[in-house]
Amino acid sequence: MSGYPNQPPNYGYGYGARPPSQPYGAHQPPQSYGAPPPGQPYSAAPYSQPSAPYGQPSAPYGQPSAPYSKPPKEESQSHSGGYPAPAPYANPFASLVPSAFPPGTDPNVVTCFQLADQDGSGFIDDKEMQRALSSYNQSFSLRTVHLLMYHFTNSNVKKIGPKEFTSLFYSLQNWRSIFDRFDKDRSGKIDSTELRDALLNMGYAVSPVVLDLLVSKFDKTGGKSKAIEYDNFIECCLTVKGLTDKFKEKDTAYSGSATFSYESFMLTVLPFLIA
Amino acid sequence: MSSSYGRYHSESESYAPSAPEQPPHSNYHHTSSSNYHYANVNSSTSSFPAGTPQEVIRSFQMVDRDGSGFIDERELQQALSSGFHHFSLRTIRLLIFLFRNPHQPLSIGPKEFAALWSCLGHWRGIFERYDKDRSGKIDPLELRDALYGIGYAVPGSVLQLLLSKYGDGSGRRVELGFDSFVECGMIIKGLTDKFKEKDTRYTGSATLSYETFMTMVLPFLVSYD
Repeated sequence: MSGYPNQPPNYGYGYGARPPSQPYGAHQPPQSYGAPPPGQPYSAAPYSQPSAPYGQPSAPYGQPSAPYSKPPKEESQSHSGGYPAPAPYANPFASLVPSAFPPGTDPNVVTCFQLADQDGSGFIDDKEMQRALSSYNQSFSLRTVHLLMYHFTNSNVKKIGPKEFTSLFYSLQNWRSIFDRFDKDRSGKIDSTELRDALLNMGYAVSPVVLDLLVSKFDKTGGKSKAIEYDNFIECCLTVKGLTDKFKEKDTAYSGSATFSYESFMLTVLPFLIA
Repeated sequence: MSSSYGRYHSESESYAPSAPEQPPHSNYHHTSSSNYHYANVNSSTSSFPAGTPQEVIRSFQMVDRDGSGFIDERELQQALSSGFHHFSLRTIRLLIFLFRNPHQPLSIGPKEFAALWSCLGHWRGIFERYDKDRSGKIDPLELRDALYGIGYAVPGSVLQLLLSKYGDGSGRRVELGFDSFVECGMIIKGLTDKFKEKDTRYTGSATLSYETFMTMVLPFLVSYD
């Protein structure tokens, strides 16, 4: 728990406000597992069991004698939905125009953006961003880039415009200085204790269990070195900040607990797992 | 111990957090049924659970060149690639984390290896069953049906988000090879099972503490491109 309920200020927002749009804007909160979106064939009980779906309790996995057959409505429903969906592409940038740098933006930022925007589209996509970031003597994985983009757009569009780029630019400077400050021995990596202090400094108090998980997950060597390099440090911070902020959105009473429907839980956490 | 769990659960239940449940009579392991004529376990392999198929023991010993009794991520990748399919290091890291021995968290011992192999065999059976057109790939509809078939009615929005990871951005329909299918399946199954544990009254909602929330999610994260 690490003091979250007792000391709410410890969970203060680290960096500039994010755009308000949510990736899952329109879903109905109290949905249970088994209950699919309206118009689907099986409105079965929550957590429908293997034996339930197709009305053959004795043959849950479609034995040869009882071949599994697709409910036709399901198929048409899914086709009309289509993967990947166009939905996320619709919202956050509809109003953005390529020249929309905030007034008073540092000309250096504008120059960086224009250099990075190699196809002149007015947006920087994930590959362009990766190339731009990696030119400063530091490699960034696409995963880090995707998490950064998710953080600054709150969507999975995998490209950013001038406004988001500006926020990202300053945040990266900020993270670099935090990293350097807490990398006390100048090893280029921060260990578990240094990570704890850095997160605390940003307003996130995590328990020893969570800290261990973070170090083992963000260690490039898969856990051998027990330390985190700069690009993974950014990923780690984005993950802690993102998950914590999402949690707090649901913890409206500041009680230290939050209630999620199954669907909202999955939609909240998956962006951090699939980046 | 629930009797509805497959046979490997009874041997290594605590090491198979992400295996789909299977009916005990299932016989669609990718290998022939002769593998279930269990080998007599000799002294050099005493750390494998009794009844471990010889094929599994051989695969382990083939990559454990130093005979340490533990294999690392590269060795595991090699062993599984010979038995199943090429796995990306990213998937391997997820597998190691989910099946790890708490005392040897960076490597996989015989017991974990046997549990993992068995688990992958179950996923392979599901993969083959739902790959209706035998394309060697699972498309979004097949994935949805496969998850539904093992008891997970995943909302379309969730599947869509999950699959966006595997798209190339062109809008073309995503297809999953076996390793991505396993990754998706384990994430969905793992997170859903954990959520259900907290939803004791079966309401479809759960109230989580911050610590619980973080420790539910982080195990499924892999920071590897």
